[in-house]
Amino acid sequence: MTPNTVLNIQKFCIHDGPGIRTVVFLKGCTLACQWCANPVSQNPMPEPLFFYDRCRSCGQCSRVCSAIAFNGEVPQIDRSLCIGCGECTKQCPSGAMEMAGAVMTPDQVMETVEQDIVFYRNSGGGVTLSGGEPLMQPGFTKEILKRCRDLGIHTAVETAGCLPWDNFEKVIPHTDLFLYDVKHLDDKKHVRGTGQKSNKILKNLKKLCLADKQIILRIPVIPGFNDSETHIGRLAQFCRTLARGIEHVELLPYHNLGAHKYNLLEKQYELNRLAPPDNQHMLKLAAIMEKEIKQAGLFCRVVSGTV
Amino acid sequence: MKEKSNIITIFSRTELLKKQYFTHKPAICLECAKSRTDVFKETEGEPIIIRRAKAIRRHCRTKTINIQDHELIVGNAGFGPRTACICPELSNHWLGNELDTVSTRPQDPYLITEDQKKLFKKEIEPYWQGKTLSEHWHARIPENTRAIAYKTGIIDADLKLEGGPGEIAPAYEELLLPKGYGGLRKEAETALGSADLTVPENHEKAWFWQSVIIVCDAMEVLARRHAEKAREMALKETDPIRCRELENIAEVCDWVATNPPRTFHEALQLIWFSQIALYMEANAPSYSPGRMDQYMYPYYKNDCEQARLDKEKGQELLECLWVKLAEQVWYQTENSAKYFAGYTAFQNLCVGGVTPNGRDAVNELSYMILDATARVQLCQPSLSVRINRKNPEKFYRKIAEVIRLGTGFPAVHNDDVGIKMLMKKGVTAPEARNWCIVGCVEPNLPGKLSQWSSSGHYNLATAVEFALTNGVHLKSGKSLGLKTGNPVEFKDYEAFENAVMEQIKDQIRHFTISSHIIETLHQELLPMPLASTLMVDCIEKGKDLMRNGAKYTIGPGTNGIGAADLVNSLAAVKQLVFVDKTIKMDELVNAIKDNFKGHEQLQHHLVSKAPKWGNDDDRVDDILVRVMDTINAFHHGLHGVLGSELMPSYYPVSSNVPHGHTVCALPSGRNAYKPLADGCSPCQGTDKLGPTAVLKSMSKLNCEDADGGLLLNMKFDPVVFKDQGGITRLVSLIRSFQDLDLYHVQFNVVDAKTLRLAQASPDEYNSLLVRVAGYSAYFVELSKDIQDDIINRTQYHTVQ
Repeated sequence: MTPNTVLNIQKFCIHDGPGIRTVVFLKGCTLACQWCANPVSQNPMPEPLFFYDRCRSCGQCSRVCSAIAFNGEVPQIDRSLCIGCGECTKQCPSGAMEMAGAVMTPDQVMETVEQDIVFYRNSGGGVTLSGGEPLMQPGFTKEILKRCRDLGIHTAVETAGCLPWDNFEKVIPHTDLFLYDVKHLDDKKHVRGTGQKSNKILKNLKKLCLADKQIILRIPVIPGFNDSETHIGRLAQFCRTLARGIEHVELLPYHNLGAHKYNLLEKQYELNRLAPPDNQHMLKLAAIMEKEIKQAGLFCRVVSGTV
Repeated sequence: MKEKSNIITIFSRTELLKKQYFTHKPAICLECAKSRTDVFKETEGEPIIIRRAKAIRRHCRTKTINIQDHELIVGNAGFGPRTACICPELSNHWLGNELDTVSTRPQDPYLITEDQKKLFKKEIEPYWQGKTLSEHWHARIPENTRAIAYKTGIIDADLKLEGGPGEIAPAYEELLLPKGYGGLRKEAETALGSADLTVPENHEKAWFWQSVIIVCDAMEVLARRHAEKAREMALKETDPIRCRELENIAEVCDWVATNPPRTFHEALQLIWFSQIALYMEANAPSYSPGRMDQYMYPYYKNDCEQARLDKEKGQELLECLWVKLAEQVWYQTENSAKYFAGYTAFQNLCVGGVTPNGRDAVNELSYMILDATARVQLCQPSLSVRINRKNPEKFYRKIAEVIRLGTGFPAVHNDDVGIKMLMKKGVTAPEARNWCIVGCVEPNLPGKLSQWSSSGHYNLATAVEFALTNGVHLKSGKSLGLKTGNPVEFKDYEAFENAVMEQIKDQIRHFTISSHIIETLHQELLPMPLASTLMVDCIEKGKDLMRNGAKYTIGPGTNGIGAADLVNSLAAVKQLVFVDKTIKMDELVNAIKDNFKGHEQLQHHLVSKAPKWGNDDDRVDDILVRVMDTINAFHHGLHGVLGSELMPSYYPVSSNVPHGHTVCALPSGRNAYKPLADGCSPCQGTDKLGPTAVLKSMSKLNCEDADGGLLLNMKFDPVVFKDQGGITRLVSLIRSFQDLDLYHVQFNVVDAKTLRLAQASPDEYNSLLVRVAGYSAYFVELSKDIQDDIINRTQYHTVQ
């Protein structure tokens, strides 16, 4: 479907599985969440980002690409015509055009991944495939996971789950841990927030629970979307039914740190006015969750990756 | 105030001492200068070493004796806490030229009174006119070496030119504690008694032994006068508890005046007297107490077994010593203070590692010492840990807990590498296993190794400048470098790299010439009777340290500053001028001469398109490895006047900031006169891939070949090490550091916000400690330049 597109590879990650990890972010996602913290990860193709404040209005980019018009001030990119060749970014002298994503071979990915083996070994860490949606590129993902496993590197996959079950089957044998996102139980609501129904996501999750893998359930808590006490209560009941299959539940408070990235793609961030949930509310929701799932031997924690 | 002592607990005593400490601003003490001047006037014609010994004794006989409230360990080098002993024999520029600015200058001001100024002008300065070390140097230095080596910021040799040698770890364990000054005196007497003065070389030896006897007497006087003072104070003391404490202090001081100590308290007091006396002998940094958890443990254990001491009391005594160590300051000229900012006296104390026979050396005292640093949180002692795989996990976790407090302590040293560094110098394995750290990061041997670790700094970034300007120093317009050719005519990258290497070698050559003169002058003018008394073999050989008296002599050490600027510049020229060919050499040279003004696109290109050190990128890392191997090998082919090889090292202290002030814009994209990178750390903000990549880049260097030590600074957001998981994470980083065979790493765990707040309202942050480079200092006592440098270093955090 897509050609092995990697958004970036980030070292020293400490929130995406145990220990010190390298996270390989693949580009392309099956969902388009309104709150998406990294809109650059949605499109499965490499694409140029435009940093307005760095542009010196030289027009070089428009001279090498018919998808870019130049009005003497700022280049206008027609993204429907962009093929992600990156010529514009090579021409730009001021760094205003930067490429997001690159087509890579598994060898290239592994070269970076292997650089930090000593840190994985000492911290009980490893590699996490994330996205976007890594299962959108199941072959590529599988290949990387397999090579990691061959080197004794712990593997994790972070998924939103909205894919055919076949994609899961390809990677399951090579994955130690799944970080599985669940956003809403209700189909209609889910469509409104993400563009897709939740049905398939929940079904895949149930199946995955039978695969005897470590699973951490992650719920991004979006104010006004899924953060009512009633809904978290229902989610808690759902989690309880999965009890044996999952390790624990994490609540991730919504943040808007990715809002500026929408500008780079000339997109609008629709949740501009949405404030992150306050700590107290998060703790309350965690308590609701914990109360329900405790009986099943599970715990819940709030994970905030940012300060 | 006295009544309060009834409720002094271990916790409150430390707090009270700390509070007292912060009321003292660093000040000038001229008592030492006065007694030295008087003695020298009276002893014309006598051997220099005897004159110097007598000067110490006079100072001990006449100095102000000061015992502060709440103290259990007593004594100061000057007339009080945080007073610096002026040594006029070193340089008259020292104070003479700076009398009126010393209390107001931006970095490290010292208080001085009008009476002191008068005393200095009238009695001290006139006598030393024409006799000082620095005047001798100026009289002897070849003109072309002076041009590049004196106050240019290119080569900086002020440390040994205007200061004593310092930089030893005295033989506390092997000599002082088992023998006491009485025992050492006896050894010298015996040797002197049997000296056959018909043998010509024995005269010098006899002088040495006489000087040992005199300094041992000086140490006795120093202790006895403190005992007297304590007894005097006890008589007037109304609080019975403090009265008993003072009487006890008197007993302790009296005993250690000549005898070997019997108890933990006595041993600590004896060490403290020795520490302060060393700073009286010569104004210099870096007298290291060394492996205190090893040599103090028998006293601690014995006291506990005899029920003379318990853990709390032992902890309290350690903390009392910690405050004293923090009170020790040395004097620096305005220029020198930029290079060694923050008053710290570099008393490096280390715990952990292995015993001489290779067993895990961690004991109860190792933890208590870490606790003392965690609780006292003052700028001294410089605490280092030797981490060895044989050390227990608990020890690693304790280290992580203390690092997490954000004071920059302890610095982490890899035991395996330190041992290797020393064995390369010809030290036996059991001796090497007993290594300790001196100064910032320099591997040393307690009592056995005399090495001028830091004879000064030279500027690696200037070498790049000279290669691009055919030897012209752009800031001064003078031709100070070699003529390595017009850069536009370099046919390939190798030609450029060769030119840079030639410029580096030229600097090292000038450095060596200057250093030889300084060493010779130290032999002639600055023998160190006390320091030599405290080093193994000196008494036996009858020789001072500067006459090869120590068991091993190594160095002098040179310190290359701006390693990352050097390699980033080389890599940029290689990649963009010669491989990608996107920049022409003449464009680059012009841009650099213009400090990138009007060449902003080219600068952006240099910054963004060339690989940078610290990102685990072989394209640049390989260059540094190669360049450093060459520099190290070049050093090992040069020798000091005592016959030992020069010793390469790469730790900046704070000199990366002033060294930056002299260097033009660089191909790395750095603007002119900005700070250089510190130690081997990446340039500020160029390590984009986080801490693991930095450690990986560092691991490619052959640390043990830079046997003077190399330094890596890492700055973390405190959030990264929060909670129990944070401790585990930090331990795993330290263990990885060890697996990668790195030598040294130090952590600043503080957020930039706090530092900015401290910059804005210094009064509220007077105890905020930060790691500068190889040592910690109070952030608010650093000049703005250095504060900014610390704020601008890359901070590692994590985002989702």
